[in-house]
Amino acid sequence: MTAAFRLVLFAVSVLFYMPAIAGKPEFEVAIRQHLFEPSVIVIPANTKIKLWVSNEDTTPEEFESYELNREKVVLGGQRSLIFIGPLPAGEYPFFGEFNPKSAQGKIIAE
Amino acid sequence: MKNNCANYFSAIAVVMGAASLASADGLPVDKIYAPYVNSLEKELEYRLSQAEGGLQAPDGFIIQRLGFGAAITDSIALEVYLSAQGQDDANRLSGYELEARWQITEQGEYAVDWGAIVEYEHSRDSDVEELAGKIIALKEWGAFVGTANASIIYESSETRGDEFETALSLQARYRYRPMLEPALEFYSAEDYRGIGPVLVGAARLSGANSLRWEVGTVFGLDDDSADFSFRLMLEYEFY
Repeated sequence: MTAAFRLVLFAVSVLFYMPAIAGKPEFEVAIRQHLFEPSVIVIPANTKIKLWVSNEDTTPEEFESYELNREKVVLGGQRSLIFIGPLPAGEYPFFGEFNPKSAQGKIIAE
Repeated sequence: MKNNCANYFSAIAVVMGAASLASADGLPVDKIYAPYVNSLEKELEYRLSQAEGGLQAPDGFIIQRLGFGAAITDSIALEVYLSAQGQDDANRLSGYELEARWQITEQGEYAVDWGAIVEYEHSRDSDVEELAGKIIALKEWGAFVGTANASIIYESSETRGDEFETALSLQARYRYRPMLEPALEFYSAEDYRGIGPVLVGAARLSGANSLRWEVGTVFGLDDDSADFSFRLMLEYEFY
């Protein structure tokens, strides 16, 4: 039932915007000792991407960015997927809301 | 590009068609939901709606809600509200609401983000019970965000009997900066059509906590609709 419902929603979404179903490049960032590694991620401009966030710490962290309009809690020892873009060329800072002083990074779209 | 424009116009036509069919009684001006749920997040929420005029509030109407909610998974959140309503003041408990919100798709996964809400409401004063299902759709266009909440409501009342109602609320918001996001909201329900400006904002607090607010006034578009409806929401999010 859930799978069927998701399929219907997906079909409706496709009607809104066909390019959304195009293949998406994938990128990885890890959280270690409350730091993002790498802290700078270069992605293609004007392309939707998948960003896998692996939290290797034991405590949760929240990937947050107003510029990217994304907010996602990643539990300790888990991996989460965040869809980003398509973004115009530019720099988009992000940070870990639970450790904002240390966990900082940016995405560069070019 | 032309295909995209055609799709957008088709979407607008569908929304306007739905608006023409929407009908529900009560005061429809209230929070417009986004579909997102964040793991571990908890919130305390206060909402105030006040209206004057029209069929909804000929002698004035005010309702206050105080709620507590928590995410129980990374896609489902539960919330309970206590409400107080009246004509001139709302300082006595008059009912409660139970709400379950489901984030169906990941943010940005598809062109439109989807969510759903199931809500049960009991009003002790007017002896009304409501069960509502709500579909949430959110679409980003750069810094602009469009959100639609479409509801079907089953209402059981000793005085008015049982009936099905529908309601639609739309919000167009510009993400200017975290503290200030201007928005325009449109509401359609039984005997009500209204539109008006709303300001939305959020401030980060210490310890990953935040305070979010929404405040605005919606003006009725015809004689049946309340002349104005003021709404305020304060939401304290914490972990």
